[in-house]
Amino acid sequence: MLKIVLVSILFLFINAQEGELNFGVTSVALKQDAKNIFDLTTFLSKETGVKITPKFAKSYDEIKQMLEKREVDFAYVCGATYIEAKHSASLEILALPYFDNKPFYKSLVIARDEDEANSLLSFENRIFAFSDPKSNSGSIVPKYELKMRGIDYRYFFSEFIHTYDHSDSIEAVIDGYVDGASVDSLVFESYKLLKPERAKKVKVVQSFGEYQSTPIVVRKSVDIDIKLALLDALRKLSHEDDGVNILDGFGVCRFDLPEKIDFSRIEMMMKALDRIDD
Amino acid sequence: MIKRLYSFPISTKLAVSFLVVILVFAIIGAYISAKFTSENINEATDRFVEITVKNSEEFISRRLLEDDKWAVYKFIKSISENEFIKDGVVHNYQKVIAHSNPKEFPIGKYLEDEYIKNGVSFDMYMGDKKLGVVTVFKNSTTINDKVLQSIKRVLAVFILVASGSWLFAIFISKRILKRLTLATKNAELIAKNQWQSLEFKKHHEIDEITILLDSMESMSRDVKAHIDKIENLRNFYHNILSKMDLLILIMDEEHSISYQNGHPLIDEFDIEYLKETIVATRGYDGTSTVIEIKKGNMFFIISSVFIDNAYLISISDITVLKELEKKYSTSKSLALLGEMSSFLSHELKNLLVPLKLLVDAKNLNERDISVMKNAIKNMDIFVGNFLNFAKPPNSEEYDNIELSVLIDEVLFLLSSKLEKKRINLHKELVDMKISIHPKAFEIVALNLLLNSIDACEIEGNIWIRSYREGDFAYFEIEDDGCGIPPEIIDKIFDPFFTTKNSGTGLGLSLVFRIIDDIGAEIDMNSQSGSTRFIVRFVVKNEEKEG
Repeated sequence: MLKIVLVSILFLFINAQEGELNFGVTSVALKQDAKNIFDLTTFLSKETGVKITPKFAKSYDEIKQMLEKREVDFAYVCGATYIEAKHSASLEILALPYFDNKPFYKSLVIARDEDEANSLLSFENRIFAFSDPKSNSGSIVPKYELKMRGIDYRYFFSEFIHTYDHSDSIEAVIDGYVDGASVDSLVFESYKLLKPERAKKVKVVQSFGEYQSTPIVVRKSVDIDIKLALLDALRKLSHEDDGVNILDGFGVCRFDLPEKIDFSRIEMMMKALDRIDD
Repeated sequence: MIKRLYSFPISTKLAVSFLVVILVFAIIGAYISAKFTSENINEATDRFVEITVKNSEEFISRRLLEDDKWAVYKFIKSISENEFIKDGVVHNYQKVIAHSNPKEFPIGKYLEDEYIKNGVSFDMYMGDKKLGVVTVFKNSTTINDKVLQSIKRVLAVFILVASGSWLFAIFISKRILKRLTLATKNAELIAKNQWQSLEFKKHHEIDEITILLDSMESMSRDVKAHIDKIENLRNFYHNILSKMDLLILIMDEEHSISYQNGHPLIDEFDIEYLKETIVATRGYDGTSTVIEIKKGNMFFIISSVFIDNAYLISISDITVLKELEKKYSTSKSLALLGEMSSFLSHELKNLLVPLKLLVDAKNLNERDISVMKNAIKNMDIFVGNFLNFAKPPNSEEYDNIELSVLIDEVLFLLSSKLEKKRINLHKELVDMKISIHPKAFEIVALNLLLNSIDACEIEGNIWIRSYREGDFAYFEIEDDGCGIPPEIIDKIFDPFFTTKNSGTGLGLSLVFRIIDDIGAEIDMNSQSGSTRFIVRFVVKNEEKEG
């Protein structure tokens, strides 16, 4: 344990010395717009004076591992991932995205526009897409909602898949590869802005939540000045023209650190499902 | 169709030719292009599918192993986005894992064998374990569309090129036609003899047509100059001929009148009559003739010569001449009668002088009687000669008379005169017979030989010749005497013309009359030291055989 602490201190020292940070990104952010991620890291680098490099992970499990292995210093993750890794990776919340001036989002069940489905339960014996298995909105919420109705999702659908990406889930519905999907409301809104014509081909059949929005987390070991500089830079996004463009790309109006943050509902759902998985 | 094309203008012919050539090439090009495109697309699609699937085998197998259907779907969808691939499917024992057309082939649907056979399948392995099959279906519709598109492109190029060629053909043909039209127009003007309307221009093109036009211009000018020259000559000669007091006609072999000099005599003759007359009276060699005809009270001489396949005919009105000739003949006869009367009375008076002197004498001696006898004898000879001249012996009843015999008889009569002047006589005679009264021949030969003897000096030479040439018998007498002075040559055959003191002047005129009466001819050559008379007799068939 002492070794780990020493190595961590040394790693922090080296990073601080070199003034470099790695920023982890998952499917919570739109992969289709990787440029937006680069623009964000460039903006943050400029504002903080610290070189920030983006690191992309396929799944929340992967980003969780990267945080635990300290391969990334701060990351844009799902609330569920934060809950899972906050102790193992020693994380704290740096900022939350605001949508409609609220740090909350929803889980949306979508289907093709012409589909007659009107709720999650309409997809019985049909094909359904989850995003990441550890995604709150894309996986945990629908599974939890079915479970609350005494339904085991593994047998409810004729087939189900994981796309590991909210946008891919939307595409899967539009293509007809799946009949329905559960996606993050933030991603869905971004998708509508990014691809309005294709977005018209899907409709929201059911909405769950509100849930605390997906946080930008930072390892506690990162220098407090850098953390504060990062937070200031994130807040500054909504005040700068370049920053507003970046925020539009994420589908949020700003980043901030609210006084009250509550991930207990998500945690409760995770625990409920853990029992199922067990 | 081809024959109809012959009658079209050059522009149409050129344009159609261009179109046909381009169409043929376009069809061949379209066929090759379509075949090439089809083969290439099929081959490229096969290669694309094979390479893509083989290269992605590990990725697909791993995704199948992880049951990451979405990743498998994205792979098969990406392949199917190729326009030459219709669909792709990943299946496991024909159960769909991911199909590029998920609405029709959702996850879990079973595929039929016949359906899978239409595609190209690749088995996906992870080690020895078969995890699934990737089947790809080519989009034959798109390939056909591409081939069709290729054909359309070739046809579009064809239409473009054809349109351009059409315009080009029209442009070229118009340039050519403009010059050809000018050439045709000029040719028509030349044919119509409208030389003043000919039009010649300078052309930018230097090709066969321009060379033709330039040559035509040069030829036209030369021909025009020649025609002008010929026209001037024609006018010149026509003016001359039209001023002549005779009708001149040129008649071709078909007996059509091609020229006449405009003499009023043309109205006097029926053309058909003229033709018949000319043809019927051709000369013995068939080329020329001169005939005298009488029409009513008028006399004409028609002369015809056949030259260069045409008859040159001249017709003269000799009515006036005939009247003058008649008058002249009458006055000449009266003059001759007067001359003869004077001569006869004068000669008789001279011959009567000795008789008048002796007729009153009382005693006539022998000498006087001898003188009187001589006077009477001379009068008898004189009167005999005169009678011979007035009525020569008729030779009609005498045929086949041996010439040499007649000559010998004459020479016998003249032998004393010949011997007296010691004349050397050279006889070069052949056996031949002629038709003449012996007395007539005697008069002819005697007069000619007497003239020769008189002309010869002492010991002079006289040649007597006879020979035959063709249908004629010739009798010649030649001497080496003094010859006949040129100034009197034209008069020697006139009656009463003599250069001798004792001559009557009837000898040679009597010879001429006898020769003319029997249809023979006499000719004479004389110069100093030589005089030769040539008599030509026509030989009859019996004489030829004799």
